[in-house]
Amino acid sequence: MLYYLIFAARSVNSQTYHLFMPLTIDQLLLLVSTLLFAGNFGLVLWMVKTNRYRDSRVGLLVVSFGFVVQMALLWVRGEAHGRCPITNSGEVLVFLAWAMIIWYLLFGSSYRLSLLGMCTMPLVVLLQVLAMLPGVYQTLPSEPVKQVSAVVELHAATAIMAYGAFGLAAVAAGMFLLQNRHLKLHQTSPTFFVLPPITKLFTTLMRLLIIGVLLLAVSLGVSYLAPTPVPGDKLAIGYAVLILYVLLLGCRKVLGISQSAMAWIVMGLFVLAAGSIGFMTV
Amino acid sequence: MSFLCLGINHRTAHVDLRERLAFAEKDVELALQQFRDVDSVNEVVLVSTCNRVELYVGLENPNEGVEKALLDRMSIMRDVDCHHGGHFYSMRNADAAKHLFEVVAGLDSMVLGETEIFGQVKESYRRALEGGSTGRQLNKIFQASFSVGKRLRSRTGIQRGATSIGSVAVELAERIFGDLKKSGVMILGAGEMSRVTAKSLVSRGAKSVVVSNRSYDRAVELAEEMHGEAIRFDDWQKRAVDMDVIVSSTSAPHHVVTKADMIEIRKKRHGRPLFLIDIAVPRDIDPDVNDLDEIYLYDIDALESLAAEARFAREAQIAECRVLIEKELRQRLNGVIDVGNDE
Repeated sequence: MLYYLIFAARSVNSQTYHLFMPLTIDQLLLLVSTLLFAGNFGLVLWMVKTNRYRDSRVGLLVVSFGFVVQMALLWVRGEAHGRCPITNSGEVLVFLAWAMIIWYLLFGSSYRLSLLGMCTMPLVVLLQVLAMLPGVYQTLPSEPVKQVSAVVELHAATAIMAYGAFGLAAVAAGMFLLQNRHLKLHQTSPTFFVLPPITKLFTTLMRLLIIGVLLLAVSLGVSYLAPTPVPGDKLAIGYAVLILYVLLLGCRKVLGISQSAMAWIVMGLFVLAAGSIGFMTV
Repeated sequence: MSFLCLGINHRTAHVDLRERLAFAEKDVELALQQFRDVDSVNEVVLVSTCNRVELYVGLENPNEGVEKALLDRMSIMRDVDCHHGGHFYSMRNADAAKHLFEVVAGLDSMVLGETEIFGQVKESYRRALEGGSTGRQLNKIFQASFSVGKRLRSRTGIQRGATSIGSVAVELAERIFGDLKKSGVMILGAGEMSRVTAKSLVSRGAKSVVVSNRSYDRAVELAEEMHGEAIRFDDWQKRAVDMDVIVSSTSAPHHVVTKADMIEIRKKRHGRPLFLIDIAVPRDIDPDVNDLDEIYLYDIDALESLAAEARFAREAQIAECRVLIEKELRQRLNGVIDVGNDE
């Protein structure tokens, strides 16, 4: 079907094409997946506010469908580039959103973390909306590249997967802080009853951090095998992010910094790390 | 065809009368047979719990005198005059079905929204079904009531929040730890309130119970009752390191658990959360303890206020539940009973 769409889009006369389809196929896929994720957020938020929330498959199906559309988008762009689609900031943002959804689908279902999806979606939508901005989103190249280094592709992809794990850890941290506030101040709200237990949230946060650190370490290790050296500024940023997360895990282990302090730092670190996304292109 | 509900509940009859009218499980089959022998009665389900004794009856025709005949039969069976005192209520068709839906949803319970009644009505129906006391009409009405009950619980907040001190403690513990199966509970002071609260936690699967009391004998007594372990009062700080929940209810006039105690205990817990429940008056635990990270302190006022909040929230759901019941009644029982005549 995708081939058909691409074929149809390419074969129609340019004027008619713009009349009936003002967006290119990849832009359309980006818009649809963003709308699906935003729809999931709106639906779950409405369910929580009206006391109708329960872990339903409908929400998960919407996210899964959005994920498939997102994959199609990355595939279309990957085919056009002839390489992993992380060649500009817009693509990196979409790839990062995709990585967060993967981690959500893995962790959300394994640990039955209710509302993790609802809390992840605003961040995913924000990343994809930023990706859509003029100047950030680049049009598809007319020709794919001739030479691709698998090592460099692996280096960048694992780095983005690591950032995805850090992003989801930041979401879990936000949920932890909200539930912690409820419990400390003896307050209840509709979210109090549907947020996961704080112990579970903290365990998830820690596991995501460890996964992120391991993936980033692999990414940086792999970069030394690249046929042409990875630029120094990119490596320096990668190492800085890795060291900060390792230090944080070490502080928790050795100094026993509190769970709420950890949660705040994890959120802050992700904001810092996300600021370096522009450096992650290949 | 007509549908009738005839019964008493906690609002219309004192417990003295309810316990005399209640049917033991072994007597239900015979009772159903006897009620079925009444003229015009086709089908019967008998719901007998500590808060209600109700007959749900499918009638062959709208026999106006059937209530009297059923009460006569009840009076003979229970050796109680059921005609006097105005304790029994009677409803027909849509009103009776609405009442059943409300009962199943917990709207007619002493503790609004409680879930136990759902199982009790289901069990009563199962017994009548197996005894051949139900037919097409009651089967449809009861099946509808269970679907509506489930729907109300999932679509409204009628069962949301805990409404007693014990259940609030359990709910909070579950918001902190999730499953309580790995949680250890310590009881400081072997009073009645701590016993009740700890029992609620144990009923939800708490792994172990440790009891500490100034009088060691009393601690041993309570520990035996809870299948736990008794320790000397001087040892509570040492053991608290491994616990997840501490319920305190001593009669001490001063703080038994100080912030300094908790700072020391917290250091040894490697960041594991600790839930403190202080149900003593005057309070046993220094309120400043709540300022420490990973420690969650609730005193009796905080617990009671959460229970009251939940009760209030449930009451606010009644109107929404009734609208849903009305809608479901028309959708599910149209053609089974007259859903419009009793409006």
